[in-house]
Amino acid sequence: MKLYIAVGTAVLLVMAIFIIVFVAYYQQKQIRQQLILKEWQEKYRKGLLAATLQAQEHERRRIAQDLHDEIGTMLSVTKLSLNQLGRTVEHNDPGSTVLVQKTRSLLDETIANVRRISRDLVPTTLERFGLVSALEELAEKASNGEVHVELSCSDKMPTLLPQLDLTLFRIAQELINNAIKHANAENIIIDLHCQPTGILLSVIDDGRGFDLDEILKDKKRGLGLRNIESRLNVIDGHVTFDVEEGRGSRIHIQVKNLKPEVEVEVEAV
Amino acid sequence: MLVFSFVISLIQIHDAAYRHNNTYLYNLNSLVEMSGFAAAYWIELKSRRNRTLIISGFVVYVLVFLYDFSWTNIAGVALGVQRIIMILYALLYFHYILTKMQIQNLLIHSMFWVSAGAIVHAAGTLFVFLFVKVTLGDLSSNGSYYLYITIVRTFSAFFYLVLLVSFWLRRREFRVTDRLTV
Repeated sequence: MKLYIAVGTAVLLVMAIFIIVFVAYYQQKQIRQQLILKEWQEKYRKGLLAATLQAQEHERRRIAQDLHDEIGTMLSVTKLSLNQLGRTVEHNDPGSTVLVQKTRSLLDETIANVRRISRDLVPTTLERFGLVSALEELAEKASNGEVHVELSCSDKMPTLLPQLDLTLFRIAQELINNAIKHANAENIIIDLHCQPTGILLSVIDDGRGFDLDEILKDKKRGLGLRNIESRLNVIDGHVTFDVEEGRGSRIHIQVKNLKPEVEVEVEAV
Repeated sequence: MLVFSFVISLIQIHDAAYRHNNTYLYNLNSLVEMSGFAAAYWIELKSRRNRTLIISGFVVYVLVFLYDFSWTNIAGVALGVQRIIMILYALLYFHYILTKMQIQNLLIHSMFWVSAGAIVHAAGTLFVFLFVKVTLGDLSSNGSYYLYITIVRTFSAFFYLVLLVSFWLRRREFRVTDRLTV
């Protein structure tokens, strides 16, 4: 009987130790697999996001190209025809000259608008002269009698990857647009600095601010802010919102000036 | 549970020194251990199914304890059932660990060590108490009482050491949680 007890106890002990070792080993293995899976999912998500942004840029280019090459050309040809018509009308029906001139000025305005939209869709300055020039142009365009946009920038800005340039430009564009449209800001400062850790872009305004939590909670609003976060996610960047309702907002974007894992190819038009 | 067990052990030593019967204290200690265990697993395992199993196990144990309790003898069946239920609780917790997959590093998780200690302690002493008449019933000088009681004490000591390590790990877990929530 005692022998049976000894054998039984030994068997139970071996089983207990086996169970403990198995649980520890299996759990650790599962955790490792889970981590790998999460990494893959994160990579896939980033890839998907990068592809979406790339497709968005391609689409913008296509529309800009169509506007410039097709509608722009057609409008120019129409203007030429109108000029010919104007000359004919001047001789036969001098009373219609005013109408022709009015149509010509409308046509000029339309051509200018098409060019502006086409240029806004594709930041050609960014591709030709880099981020600083593009931001200067953006500040200049956004400034008018009521709004003053100023760019403050490091003397020595390194050449950034095209993807990084485009991301920072689009973010600055979105933030300035928000400051003018939603916060009714009068003074906006774009601060671009190169730090040892990376590039810091800040957009500071004196508008009425906003409640970040409330905006992010509402799925219908805050699309632009979510878009900024998505863009930064692709290049491992960070955004800090120093905002409060009733006072101006300070939004800081920090990105590493390194070759990112996921690259978005930027094609020239 | 540790404090109660410590007090019971002191009373056991006191009774033994005055040559009083102290075997009933083994039985009471078993009740304290099981109550502590059931409470610990009740707190850790929050699903309804698990809690039902914990309560059912505890109720079964209490019924067997009430039936088998004796002031003069070790309640072998109650202590044996206690060990079986301890093993069940530990297995329940292992199942929970493997299905939930929420613990990053199992080796520094306190409840894992509590369960591991419990399962080893229970497995090592289960048959000693289930066949208590054979193992601890023979008090003659050439009997096996001293051998088996030493085995029981060794496993108990090992278990309480593991519990102490788990306490230390638990404090660490609380500190980490506090740091994360502040």
